[in-house]
Amino acid sequence: MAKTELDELNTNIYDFKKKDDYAYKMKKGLNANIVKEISKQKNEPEWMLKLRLQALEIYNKLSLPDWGPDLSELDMNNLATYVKPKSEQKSSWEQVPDDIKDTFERLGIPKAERDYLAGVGAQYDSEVVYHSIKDELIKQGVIYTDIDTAIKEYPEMVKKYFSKCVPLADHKFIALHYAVFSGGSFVYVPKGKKLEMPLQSYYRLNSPESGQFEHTLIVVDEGASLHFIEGCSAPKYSKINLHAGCVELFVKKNGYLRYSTIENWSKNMLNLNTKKAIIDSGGEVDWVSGSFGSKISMLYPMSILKGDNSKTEFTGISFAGHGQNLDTGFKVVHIGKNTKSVINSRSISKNGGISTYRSFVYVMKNAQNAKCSVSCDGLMLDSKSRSDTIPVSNIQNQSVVFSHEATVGKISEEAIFYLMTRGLSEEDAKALIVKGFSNPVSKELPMEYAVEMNRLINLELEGSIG
Amino acid sequence: MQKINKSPVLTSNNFGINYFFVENVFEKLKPFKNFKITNCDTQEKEPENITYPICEFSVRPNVCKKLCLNESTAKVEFNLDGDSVFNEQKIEVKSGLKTKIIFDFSAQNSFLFNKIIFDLKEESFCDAVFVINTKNTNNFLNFESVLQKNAKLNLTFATFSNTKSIFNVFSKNLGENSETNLNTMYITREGGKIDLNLFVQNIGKNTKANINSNGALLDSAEKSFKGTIDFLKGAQKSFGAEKEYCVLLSSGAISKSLPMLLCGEEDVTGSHSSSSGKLDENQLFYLMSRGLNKKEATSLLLKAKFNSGLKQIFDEELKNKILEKIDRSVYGKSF
Amino acid sequence: MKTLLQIENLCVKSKEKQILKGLTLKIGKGETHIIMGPNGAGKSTLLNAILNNPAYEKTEGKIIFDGADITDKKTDEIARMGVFMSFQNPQEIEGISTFNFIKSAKQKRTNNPINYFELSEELEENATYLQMNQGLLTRDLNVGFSGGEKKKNEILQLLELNPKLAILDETDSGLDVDAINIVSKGINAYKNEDNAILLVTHSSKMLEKLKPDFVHILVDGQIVATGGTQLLDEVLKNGYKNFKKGV
Repeated sequence: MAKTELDELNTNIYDFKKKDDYAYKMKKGLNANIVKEISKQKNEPEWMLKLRLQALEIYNKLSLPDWGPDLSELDMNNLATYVKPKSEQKSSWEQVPDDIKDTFERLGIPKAERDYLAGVGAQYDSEVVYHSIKDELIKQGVIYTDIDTAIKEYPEMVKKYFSKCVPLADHKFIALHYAVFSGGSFVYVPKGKKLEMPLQSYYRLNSPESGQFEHTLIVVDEGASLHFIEGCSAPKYSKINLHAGCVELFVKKNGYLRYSTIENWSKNMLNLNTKKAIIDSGGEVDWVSGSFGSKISMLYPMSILKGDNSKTEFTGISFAGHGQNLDTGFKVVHIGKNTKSVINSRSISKNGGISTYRSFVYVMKNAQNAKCSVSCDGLMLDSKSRSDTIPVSNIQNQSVVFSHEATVGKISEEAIFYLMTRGLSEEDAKALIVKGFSNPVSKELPMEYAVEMNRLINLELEGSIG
Repeated sequence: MQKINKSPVLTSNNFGINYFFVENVFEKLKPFKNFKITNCDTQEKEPENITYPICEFSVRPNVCKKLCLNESTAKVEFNLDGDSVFNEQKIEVKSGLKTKIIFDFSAQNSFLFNKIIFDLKEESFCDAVFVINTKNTNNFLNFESVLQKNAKLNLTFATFSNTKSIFNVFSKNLGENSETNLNTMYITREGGKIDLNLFVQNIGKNTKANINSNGALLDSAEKSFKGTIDFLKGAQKSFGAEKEYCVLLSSGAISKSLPMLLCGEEDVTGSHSSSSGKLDENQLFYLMSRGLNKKEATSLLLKAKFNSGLKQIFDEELKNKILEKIDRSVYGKSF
Repeated sequence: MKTLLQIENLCVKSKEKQILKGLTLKIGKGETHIIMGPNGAGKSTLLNAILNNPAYEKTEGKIIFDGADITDKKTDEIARMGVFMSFQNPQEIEGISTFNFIKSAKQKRTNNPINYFELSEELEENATYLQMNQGLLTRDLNVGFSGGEKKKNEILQLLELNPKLAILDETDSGLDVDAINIVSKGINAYKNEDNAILLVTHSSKMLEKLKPDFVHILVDGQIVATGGTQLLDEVLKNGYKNFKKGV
């Protein structure tokens, strides 16, 4: 590939700690031509290209957040080359870190999956699995396809919903996402259809990227019901260290959606994911979330309780180990009447890990009789780590019942002693208590995920990862 | 507009809780000597510049007094009418001394900025009560304290206002076994805005921090509460608890809250709980079924909620004054 | 060997305070020992010290169990050697069911895998014997259990784990008459010639059912009197004032 002017400029060495230089570099790394190339490669309609270019403009204007973890080590140098179509996106096994390979072994991940997860394989060989499920779904009127295909085959539907839940200017990394997004799922569940079997995101991932900038769009129509599972506990490795994905969920009247995620990006990654749901009257969205990997995470799923009698529940756990800074939480806006939200979040910090919990509860003026309860608990396994709780609430309606509780501390010595008097060793006792602490999340996941999650917790506790 | 009362940890600016904004009123200040200080020794002192955590600019008070407390209950009284005052008091509580102090501030059509620095030496104990009653007065109270080994500070504020009322309390439990207990009670009405930024740091081993904030908002009043308990590494066996309760008594009121727990030490116990919204309907009904009308029942419930703060008020006259103000706000009379 | 537990001149400190000041005690197989004494005498401290609870520091003395010196061994080792403690305030541990917990604890003591169905039947039988609600077996360990249910759960574990020495810390506190009867029934079912019981109690009801062999009065960190049922009657009638005098 011939070197372009762009590449010449990027070979200079900038100090990422300086915000100005950093912004300059980011700007330089990405331009309209690259975005046009991406769109052209995918054969996208005009409206999508326009959206991408608009997003690029916004991205250049917005500044980095002045709160939260330090993002200056983001390697934007490679971003431009990475997102360019036809570029070499695959890694080779030599490049994959040892601890990743080791974890695959310990978690019992099959060989075929490993290639995909390590970004080494061109295709994850779940084609066969995917196709058999696909036929069944088509029979039921369910659409489950990748987003590129959806844009072409269901343009009206996609146009109706795309970027309407998470706006382009939401924050800098969403603007980036919309400019360069590639891959992701599109799901539509028709009226009244209650899907028994959960849909999993890695059934249909047949692209060589590891899902860095994927866009997931799910629409659950009136009275329908869906359980969608994203990710898996196996760590994902990639050459570029940014994950800026986006998930938009639309739940129509009386619809139900359960969105489960286990995120375990490799320990060099910056995970800046944005997920939001808009819920119409009588609808409900339950979020179940386990956050384990990545070096820095900024993850705040959000539910917008637009319709009357809408509900949302969030159950999450995050585990910050050595060298990790996991800044996670949840946001909810109560707009309609008689809305309800329940937030239950737990975090574990170990061996120097930093765990920050942030939440935002906004009850708007006309949200009569809103009910909201938030509980967050932080467990510290030693004094090298940190656990911070930063919950914000803004209540503007007097008929609301809002309560928030939080605790922080270490594993109770009395509990450890009690378990040891039954013959468990100190390590086993601690592991049992930590797993018990994570129980609210693992019990909401399908069995095989819960088992994987528990194995992952064991590995984290042993410190064999990172 | 200037940004003051910065949150110890920043959040997204969209949440509107990182700072409080004020117009620049500091130029209009004039010296104010009309305050009474009784039952303690006072000395004039050179005022110092004030910076973080209050302001992003530098301000200097125009009167500074040093107070040396003794066994009697000291009292500092201000009565402002059309004044603009910026005062500072440095208060020293000698080693081993157990004492009390009352701050009784009344102001109307004025501006009041008061900074207090408390220095509690080893084994000392101070019970400090502030009653701040203002009308059409923007007031800003900045309070800093450092506690040495085995020292204890009970700080109780009761405030009634209809304009801007800003509090910044920063207490360091530096010495082992030191303890800071903060209790705030507030009723804000009309277009008043109250901004509370309460921060207690547990530094020494076995230290204790308690933050208890209770309040009610009427009309279109707005409250912003930032309560932080910060466990520094090394503060083993420390304890921190934060409780916040705010009742919205009208449809125009707004309650913002950020009860933070920051923790760098595993061997601690930290908790916080916060609730906002309406009064408990079951409790209201119970009282009304015993013959109280709605306003009487509301007033009673408010007093019950404020009890943790009220019981710290050791001066009966002052306590009755506060109880009366609670009644007046519920019945819609001016403070 | 007839002696199961031998404690020699045990001195124990907790939070800078000296609680046990030279305690000596011998428990033989097939014996039931009772410890009584005023509050603060050191009864709970003694039981916790036998299991080497790190919150208590041994400053002097030795503890020998079944021929081995357990003074400084880790709690779980001591437990696996055959010592079981029933707690006055059992801990609530979320995330593991009572059933799975008992299964894990049993597994620690044997090298053979535990048969799920056998264990299930056995537990159901024992739970019925103790008049425990079967539902408690699938609930998280002690979470939300009433005081009585927690105590019965401790006795259930006692029956399942079948230790050589059962140490019972105020197993009767907070129980009504019926519950005391059931718990006593359970303890008697466990009792045999090869094991031994060390019970701390205040209540006469339980003592009627358990028929102790030895009664020890613990006052201010030392055993000031040892006897049989006569001593018991004396205490129940006159309290501890006569025993406090000499200290």
